[in-house]
Amino acid sequence: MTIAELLERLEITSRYALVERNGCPVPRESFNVVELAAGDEVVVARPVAGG
Amino acid sequence: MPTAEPDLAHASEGTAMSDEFTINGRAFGSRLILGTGRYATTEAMRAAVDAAQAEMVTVAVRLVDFDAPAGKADITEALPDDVLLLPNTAGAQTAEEAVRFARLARAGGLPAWVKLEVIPDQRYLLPDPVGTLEAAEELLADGFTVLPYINADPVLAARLEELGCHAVMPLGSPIGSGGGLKLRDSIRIIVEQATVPVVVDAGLGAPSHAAEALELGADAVLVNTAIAVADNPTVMADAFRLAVLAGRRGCLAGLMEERERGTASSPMSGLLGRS
Repeated sequence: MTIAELLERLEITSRYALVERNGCPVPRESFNVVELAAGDEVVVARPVAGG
Repeated sequence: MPTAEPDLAHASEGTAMSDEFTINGRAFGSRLILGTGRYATTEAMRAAVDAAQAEMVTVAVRLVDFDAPAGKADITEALPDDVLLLPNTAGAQTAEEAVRFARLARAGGLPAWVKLEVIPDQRYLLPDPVGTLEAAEELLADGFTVLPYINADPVLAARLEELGCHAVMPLGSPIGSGGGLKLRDSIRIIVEQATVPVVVDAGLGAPSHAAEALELGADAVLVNTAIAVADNPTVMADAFRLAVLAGRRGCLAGLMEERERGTASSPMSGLLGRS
């Protein structure tokens, strides 16, 4: 499963999805390319309102 | 420091007067930067951004709540397309956390700009100067446009500028406190010495505070709480916009010096009833 597919599975359709895989930020351009492996730790964040 | 003077004699409110300031080569016509937090609704926030005519706003970075309704839009979708999104590192208590937030935001496609906040202190929300310096150095080496949020310490501001920071953002008083320019004397020194833009950020509680910051020679202000929690945020945003304009014009027009004694404004000769 790619990151793009994971985001789709999670129904994350916001303009910006900010993703880390195993502690490293993943460039948005690579979401379709990066294949997740078993045991990968994925963090998904997004921009929110804040000062 | 105030630089080139626009044609004030022919300027009127609403005229496209070129009094821009630049951060890392990017020009801004508006000297009012908005934070997007603490608004009652997203619509109220957008209305304020529009009324302020802000050209840059901050956003925070937070984990997606997987239990929340699916397909939820993120805050950027409520913002005008031509406003520069400035990711902040709010929530970071260490340099490492701040660097992580910034890199995550950039990787996800947000501009490679950062309002750098390293705040371990949860009572006064004061920034950690050591952590800020460490994070700034790392983020600058990584190609970010770095705007560090700092206490109004002129030596710290100079050190961050030496590192290559593209602006400095001294606080007026603690975040959300509405206290105004409690640190005005230090801000004055920073303005005098800085060769990068000075953005007074935090604690501005009233439009007059923003005007005062611009009168002191600051290049811009960042305002969040004072507008977001106002009874009428849209009107308050407009009030801040006007205050920033007034303060900037006052600065450029050359403020009088304060004197201890009085000096009459009317002639002292030709007085009636005098021999």
